[in-house]
Order: sequence, then structure tokens, then C-alpha cells
Amino acid sequence: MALTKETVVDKIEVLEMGQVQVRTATRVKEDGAVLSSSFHRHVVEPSVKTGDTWADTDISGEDARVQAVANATWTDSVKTAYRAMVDAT
Amino acid sequence: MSTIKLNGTSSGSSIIKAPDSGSTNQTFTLPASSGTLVTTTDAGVAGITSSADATAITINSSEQVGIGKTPVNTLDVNHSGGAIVKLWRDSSSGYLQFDTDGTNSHIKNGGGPIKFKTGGDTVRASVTDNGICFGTDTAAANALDDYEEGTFTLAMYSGLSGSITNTTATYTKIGRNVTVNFYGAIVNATGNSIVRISGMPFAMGNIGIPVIAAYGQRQVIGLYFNNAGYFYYQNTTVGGNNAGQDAAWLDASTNIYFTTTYITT
Repeated sequence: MALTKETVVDKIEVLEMGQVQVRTATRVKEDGAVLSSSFHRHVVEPSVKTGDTWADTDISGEDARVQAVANATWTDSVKTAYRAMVDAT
Repeated sequence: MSTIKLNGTSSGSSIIKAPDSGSTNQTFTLPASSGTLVTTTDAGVAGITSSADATAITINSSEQVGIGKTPVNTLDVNHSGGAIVKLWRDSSSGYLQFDTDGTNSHIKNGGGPIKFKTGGDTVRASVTDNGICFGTDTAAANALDDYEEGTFTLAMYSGLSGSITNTTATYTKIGRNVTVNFYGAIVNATGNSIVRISGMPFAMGNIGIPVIAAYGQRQVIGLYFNNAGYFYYQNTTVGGNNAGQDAAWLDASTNIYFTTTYITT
């Protein structure tokens, strides 16, 4: 009887303005069979603003697949549009 | 055609005994009624065709039936792969199939919804390609297509200083409705001219949704969701908007509590 715990990013969703919504699943298993599972969600935005200065979002701490999706999605035009939306609202 | 007539004993079944080379009698008990004995070279019992060369069906002494398996229940069916039980409707491509991959159990069909009926032929619910529909409804818009619960992380909106302490941040999503429960704190945000908090677990499909939030040892206020991905305080001054709130009244750490439901996209 071996209990294991794993945390995996099991869903990555890209919103209209480029925000990446990440769902992380935490699973406790016994001999490979899932005993319990829970989800956690967080959002990664295409760009961050400090004061009046925009900068690229630091995604170094994100899961590799989240980084891949973000890097593929966050083109200059996407980041520009996102920044414009934030500045306008 | 030759005929051998056996005269049975006065009671019990008639038995044919055939000693083998070891002098062990192989016995054949004849049924009480007329019938036909068949061999493996015969065509089989009328209506049943078999070309099996190994045991396919087992009936044990408890009258339990096993197909592909030694029975331990009234009916056991087993197969090493593919469909285990597949029910076909003649002249149609539709079928209902039961199988398992060894971990998960599957019920699937050849197309269309799977309907659940009670009271004879009354449809109570259907599993459609869009989700679960109730009654005879089949509209995609009315299909219950998702349920999820979990935790989430709120954060200060882009460009704002400070942080959010997420003590309790849970969500439950039923269909497109997302209910969030939050208890946490806004920390070191007094330098902002506005208060905006982002990080809701699902994209917002509606805007202007009021949220009654309670600040710890402060006023109870109304916040508004914005489809840009944050919620904010609506200033009460004429022409005021989400950019109008001064955050200076916040403490270094101000608790905030709210529960609300919004519609996701």
C-alpha cells in the first residue's frame, strides 16, 4: 500500500485578452488509484504594471506547459491590447 | 439407421457406462425425456451456433452464469479488452456499450443522447453531447455541462502595489454560475489611488455585478465585477467611477470578506 501525492497542471485556458487561467490538480493516490483530488485556480496576466510602467510578466515560477502556452500566446499585439484594456478601465 | 434399445432399471435415470483403458467407467446419464445427443462435430443445438474451442460459458452448481469468467454472481461477463457488453439495435447503428479500462467504467452509445426513463416511457433526464438535460429538454443552452469546486488565488490588479492574503478562497461552479467565497486581507495597499482585485477563478461573462464585501473593522461596501477581470469599488461621487476610490483608508492589513455568484463565459 503506497500513498503518493501529485500536483499537476491539468487545465490551461486562455481568455480573450490573453489572461491565462491555470487549474492545478492535487491528487492523493493509493497504489495508483486516486483517493482524493482537489483543484486550485490562478490567473497569469499577459503583462504587469508597476506604477505607470508596464513590463512582461515573470512566469519563471509557472509550470513548463503554462510557460509554453503563455509564450505562444503573448505576442506583442496581445500584450499591447491587454495593456490598453487595463489603462482604459 | 441402427437402433439400440436400453431397458432401464425400475427407477432412476438410464445410464450408459463405457470402461476406458484404466477400467474406469465413463458414465453418460440419459435424460428422462426424449432428446438428441450431439458431439463436437455436430452443428449444435438448433438455434445455437458454436465454433468455440475453449470454455466460453460456465454455469456453476449455484446456477450462476459466467461468460468469459468463472461466475461468482448471477451473471458475470468479462473480456480482456474492447467492449465487454454491447447491445445492438437491428437496422440501426445505435448501440449501448459497457466496458472498462481497468480503472474507469464506461457507458457509451453509438450516437444521440442516452435517456433515462421511469414510469414506463417518460424521459426524466438525458446525457447529451452538450451535458445533462432534464425532462425532454435537449437545448444546448439548458444542458448542465460542468461542475467543479476548488480554491483560487486573488491578487492585486496589475499596476497596484500591495498584495492579497488568501486565507479562504473557494469556488463552486455549477454550469455557468460561479460562486466564490473569500476571506483574506489586503496588505500594504494604502499607497494606491484605487482598489482593484483580480484573480477570479473563471472569466467573467457579466459586468456590473454587485458584491457586498465586509472590510474588517471597517464599513460594509458594495464592489462591482468588471469583465476585464477584476472587481472594484464604485465611487459614489457624481461622475465617479472605479478609478475614484482613495485607498488611504486601508490599514496596513485590512481583512475583506465576500460571497458572490457570477456568470462565466
